[in-house]
Amino acid sequence: MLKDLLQKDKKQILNELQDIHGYDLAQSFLELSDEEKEKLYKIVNNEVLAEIVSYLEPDVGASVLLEFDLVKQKDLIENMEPDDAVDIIQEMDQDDQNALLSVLDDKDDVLSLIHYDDDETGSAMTNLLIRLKADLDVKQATKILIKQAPDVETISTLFVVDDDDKFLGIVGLKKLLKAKMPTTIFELIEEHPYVFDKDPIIETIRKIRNYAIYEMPVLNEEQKLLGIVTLDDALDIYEEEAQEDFEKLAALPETTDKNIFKTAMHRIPWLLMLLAISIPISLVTSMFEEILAAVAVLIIFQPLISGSAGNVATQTLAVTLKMLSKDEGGVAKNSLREIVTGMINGLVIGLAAFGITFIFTSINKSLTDIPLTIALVVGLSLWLTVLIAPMIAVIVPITLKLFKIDPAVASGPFITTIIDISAISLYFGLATLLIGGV
Amino acid sequence: MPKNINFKHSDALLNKMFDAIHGYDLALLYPNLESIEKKRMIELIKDDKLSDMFVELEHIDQLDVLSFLSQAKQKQLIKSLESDDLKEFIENLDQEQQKEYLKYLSKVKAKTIELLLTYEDDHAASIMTTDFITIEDHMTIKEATNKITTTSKDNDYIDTIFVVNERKELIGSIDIKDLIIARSNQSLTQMIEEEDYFVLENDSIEKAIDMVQDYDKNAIPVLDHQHHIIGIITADDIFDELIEDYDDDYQKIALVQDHTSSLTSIERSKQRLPWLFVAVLLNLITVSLLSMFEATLEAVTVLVLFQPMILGMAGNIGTQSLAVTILGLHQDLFDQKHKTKKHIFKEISIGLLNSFILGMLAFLFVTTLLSITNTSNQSAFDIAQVVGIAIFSAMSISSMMGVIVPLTLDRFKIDPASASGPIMTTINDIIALVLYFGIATIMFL
Repeated sequence: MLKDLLQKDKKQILNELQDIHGYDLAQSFLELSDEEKEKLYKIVNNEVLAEIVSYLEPDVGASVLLEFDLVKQKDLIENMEPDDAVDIIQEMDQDDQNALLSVLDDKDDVLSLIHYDDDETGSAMTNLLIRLKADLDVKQATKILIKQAPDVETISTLFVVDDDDKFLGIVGLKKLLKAKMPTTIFELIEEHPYVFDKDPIIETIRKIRNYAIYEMPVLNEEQKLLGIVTLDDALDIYEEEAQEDFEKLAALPETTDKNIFKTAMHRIPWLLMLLAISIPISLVTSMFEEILAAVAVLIIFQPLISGSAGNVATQTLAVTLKMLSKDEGGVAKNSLREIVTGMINGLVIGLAAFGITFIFTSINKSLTDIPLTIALVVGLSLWLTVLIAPMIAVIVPITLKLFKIDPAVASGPFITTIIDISAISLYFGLATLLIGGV
Repeated sequence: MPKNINFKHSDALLNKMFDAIHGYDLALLYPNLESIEKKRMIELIKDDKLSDMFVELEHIDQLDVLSFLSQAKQKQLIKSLESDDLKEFIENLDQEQQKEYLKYLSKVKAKTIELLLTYEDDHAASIMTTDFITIEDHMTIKEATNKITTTSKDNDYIDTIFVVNERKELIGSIDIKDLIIARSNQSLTQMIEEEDYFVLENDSIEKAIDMVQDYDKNAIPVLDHQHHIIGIITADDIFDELIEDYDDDYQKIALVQDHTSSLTSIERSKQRLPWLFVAVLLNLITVSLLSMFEATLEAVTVLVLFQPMILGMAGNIGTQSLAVTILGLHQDLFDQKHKTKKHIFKEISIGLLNSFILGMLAFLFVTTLLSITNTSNQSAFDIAQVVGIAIFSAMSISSMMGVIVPLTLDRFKIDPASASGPIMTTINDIIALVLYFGIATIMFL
């Protein structure tokens, strides 16, 4: 889009740029060559450029911003919404950050937002909102509304504060428009949920979703109104969190790198760790070499056992991780249910495997002359491993959490490998016990 | 949020408490109340709070609430609901009951609900609401403002006002902000912004999600094929859909579908057993294949030591590339052909590179381990070679499958997340095992 547009003359470009949404601009900006970017920078004003930059991924936005001198950086930042600006600044090196922050005006909202942690509600806040004092009458309020409206995002919710800036509640636009003089704002106030600036952002997002709120007021501990978190920002943050959960379950480190080699190197540590923890499996198996050599048919059923146990463990793990990451209550109750589920499933699957193995080994007589015993070993091991799997999948993440390690470190692949070790020990152990020195 | 409500309080105080609690939280409390408490709560609670709570309740509790209400009150409650919430409630009733409740509504509203009920679940139109305001393009600013203040109902969405022409076709929208700021002598037509962001009635919900999310819209209009506006989709509903989508993917990759924390053990078993059964049955194929290599296995038992490692590593790398691909599909990263090609190329290269590194490491490990403990007739070096090659090739193939299978499924309109199921695992297992024992058979027999 931008690429074609840049072929046209300046006037046309500026004219058409007005009708393109910032998101589309940012998407097509990424396809430009360096020369084309230069050309674009020369033509567009800071307002448009700031919009493009704020719709880019924060790290990309930061590197674009750093192509300019400090004066222009400052001007661009001032043209962005404070919360977007903060996201971008936080991606810069410490030196670049300090340089930029020191030239910003003392009153710039960016400075009040930047000291919040990424996971604090304050970091996602914007202060583009309309405040009304409770003692205003409807006419005065409407005047303020008309005056301030051009500077804010939406005006459907108006926030009411007292003389000390303490949050009292909200007035819906509809109510204000319908109200007749001499009503005061105080008479129109509705109670409204709010959050505090230090609250975890995940919790705030959950409230925004549950209460279906477009603008959530953020207060400090003195109940003063600091700003709002908007629904569209909440959507974006939610999506990031959900992706993280998903990536962690797949043992996939977070990365947006375009470079193949770098991305590969990013994923290697996880694979290496998984390889390392699968070494004990080989060692355990080697302890049973004797029985394996004697009853080679056992090997054939090994994938069945470790596979089923792995499936069951992944199921329980996913459920447990979700609960832990949402900080939902009832983890203990849930764990118990998972373990009971494992017992039931283990019994059913174990029986099924017993039947299948018996039929299979009876048909293929060349494999073994003791089909019943083999079937018993397979069925029994499967039952026991499927019973143990959920226990491990519950205990590992909860233990990690107790030690303040992110429980999601225990990804699907990690837990499956751990399960493999116990599944194989159980299986070959049982075989040794039941078949003995055959 | 209060954990429970003390019903010993006076009516006046309870009334105040209900007023202060958000409808969503009340809905969480409601199912756990005693019947007598429910009755008292419903008597005391304000009408608009009751509607707020009602829409958040599960269907069965909604019916419960209605059972406490007089016919007149029922009618009032039903009439106060937003059209999308009302549709959701009505949808779960049988035909007879549907008719009963639709009778409470005005003819127009009943028609609307009936129309909403006809849309399929995955169509954008199925989550739309019809509570919005339109103005006509020939109106003056004053007429427009008047229409909004006098005709808008409590539920109506007024942040954006939609403008239609005399044929009722949508020609654009006006931000309420601009309308409020505007001077009365300004012309309305100049303020109309073209509405480029809309969905058609049979577009998918995904399209609506992307549009709301990418363009930071609080609401988008839904149009029929004559370009009439038939509803709007608001961002809060999009949020719910988005969450559902992600939960769905997450659950699918872990083989736990439709899971909620409230399920009992028996229910969980019932839900998961079919999958596990499929997995066991599929394993039968693996078993049959393995039995073909029995001769190799008996001759070179030491091979079995490394079998879990090979299967495991192939599975792991497959999970990684599958997860990346599903996430990418989710974010619509592959809407253009060249982007898809680029992604496939990138993931396959990464797969090859990482498989190579791990194959080498496995080779080193096996050589070391067997030089210390080797009891078999084959040299440690030979076995290590087989393991190394098997790990490299099994991992490479599995990572390719992790990219290509979900993309292919998506092309045929099958949910790509189903690629994480036992069928994929079994295919990966079989490929890995055939490779491993195949190479070994060639080398040693």
